[in-house]
Amino acid sequence: MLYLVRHAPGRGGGWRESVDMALTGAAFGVTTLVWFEAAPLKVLARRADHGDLLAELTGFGVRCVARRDDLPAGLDGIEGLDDSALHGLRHSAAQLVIL
Amino acid sequence: MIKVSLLVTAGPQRPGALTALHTAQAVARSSHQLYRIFFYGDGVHLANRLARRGDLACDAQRGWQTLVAEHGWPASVCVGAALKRGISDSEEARRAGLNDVSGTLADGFTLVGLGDWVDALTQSDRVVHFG
Repeated sequence: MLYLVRHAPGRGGGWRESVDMALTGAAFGVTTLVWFEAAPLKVLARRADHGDLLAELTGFGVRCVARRDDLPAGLDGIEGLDDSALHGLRHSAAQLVIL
Repeated sequence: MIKVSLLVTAGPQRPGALTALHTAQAVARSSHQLYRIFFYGDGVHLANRLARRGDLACDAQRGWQTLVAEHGWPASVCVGAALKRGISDSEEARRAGLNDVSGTLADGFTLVGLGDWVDALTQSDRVVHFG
């Protein structure tokens, strides 16, 4: 299951709803990947609590990825991938949900 | 026969809400099983019986609410996303201390937890997302 997340934390409820959806699947044993777009990455990098926010996901075994060129330094827990690797993930995922 | 579930995150003003409705109708008319329709994010507005909006949004809401009520489609609305947007059934309204409110959830829709989304994911042969 691949979630493409466009919402940044702290803006409306989109981040929380995205995380809750991914976490629930992971908690029930669904292999879950979260692919962050550039906008949430920029906000995450500025937040002091980004480690806690990401640990929520990685602690449940959710694999977090982003385009390598979009990934700011210091966001441990998010794996930077090149375009072909992301393309491969997208095509190998059983389902893709864009939130 | 395959089991099909729909995830609807498109709000009433987005074309995806109507496309999802047409897809649900097509699946219901086919030999396949419409296993679950899960409303999440702004998609929960489609289950608000009191909402009145512009033309496209009105069509989508009216269409969903009419067909869910008439055909008994398995329409599940995420309770967390719904309550955040002022949509509740009478039980949730009572729980919030609003004893004189009968709820805003349209007939035929059910408030559920995210576990029902996982159930749709794991039990369906195909899940289609409309955002």
